[in-house]
Amino acid sequence: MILQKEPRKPRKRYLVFKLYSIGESPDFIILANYLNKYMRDFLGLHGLVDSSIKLIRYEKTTRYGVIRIVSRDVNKVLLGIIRIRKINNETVSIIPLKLTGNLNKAIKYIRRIENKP
Amino acid sequence: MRWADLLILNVDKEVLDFLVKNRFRVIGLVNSDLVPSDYRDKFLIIKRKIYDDIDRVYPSKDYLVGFVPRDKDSARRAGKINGVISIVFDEENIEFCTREQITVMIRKNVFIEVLARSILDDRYYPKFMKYATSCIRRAILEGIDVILSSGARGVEELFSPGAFRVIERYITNLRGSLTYSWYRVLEKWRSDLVRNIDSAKRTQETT
Repeated sequence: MILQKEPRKPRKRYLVFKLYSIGESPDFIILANYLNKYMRDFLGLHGLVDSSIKLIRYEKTTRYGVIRIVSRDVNKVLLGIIRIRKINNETVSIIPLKLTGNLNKAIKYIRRIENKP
Repeated sequence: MRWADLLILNVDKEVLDFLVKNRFRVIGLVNSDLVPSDYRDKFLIIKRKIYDDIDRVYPSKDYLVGFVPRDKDSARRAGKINGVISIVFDEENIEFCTREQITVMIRKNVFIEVLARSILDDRYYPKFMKYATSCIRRAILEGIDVILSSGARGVEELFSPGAFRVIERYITNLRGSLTYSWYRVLEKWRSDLVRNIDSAKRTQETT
């Protein structure tokens, strides 16, 4: 019997983003709920489970945040994220800044761009 | 590399603020007169003219001409024009970008301009992605320049450089195939503009 090689375990990826909004910025819970609902519509219930998308961090004042994605469907999920245009009737746009494989790196990146003049 | 959005249909203060914050340096505007003077030094503004009547389309050095085909025949005719013009494909005419259309455009200076705003509309998204993916991949394989522009009519239809890169990655998986091709197109259209961009960049680097 030939043992088949196990498929590579999907890796976690962390997307650093900035939320561009004209009006008021949503808070963490509103954004997390909206992201969950929106991605369920976009990927389907099964796709949502597979992508295991989760808002890890978001600061309302600086509008920088981190979303966790699984590497398997990264292109599809990112395409879904950039289509978001309205949250609570406010015009918003999620601007992807960096995709990294390490949460610490993502947080360091945010700190670095926050300190930039 | 400087970021560009070569087709913005409507411009106001919110649009310009978005473009400045997202480090766009080259923008194509249909109504470039509406840009206030304090924003003019922040961008290289490309004047655009967009037609949907093929009989009015002539390549020009003053304007980068775009043509929005409303039927297959006019799309084919536009593909045979000698000169640098763009054939603009949006959610309503993306199905005209077929293999025959690409064949017509081989070894011409006509380029394809795909409007990214079409992916924002749920009604057109599936159809647009299906046709755009095959059209863009085929065009790139044949050596035809493809530009991804927003075609925005307001700030909510604009895309950031990162978003353009995500679309590029999803469709072609080739870095720079859609997001940097504006440079080649401008070089063919007016090489003096590209020289100005390069010299401005060098000055910026030395200061």
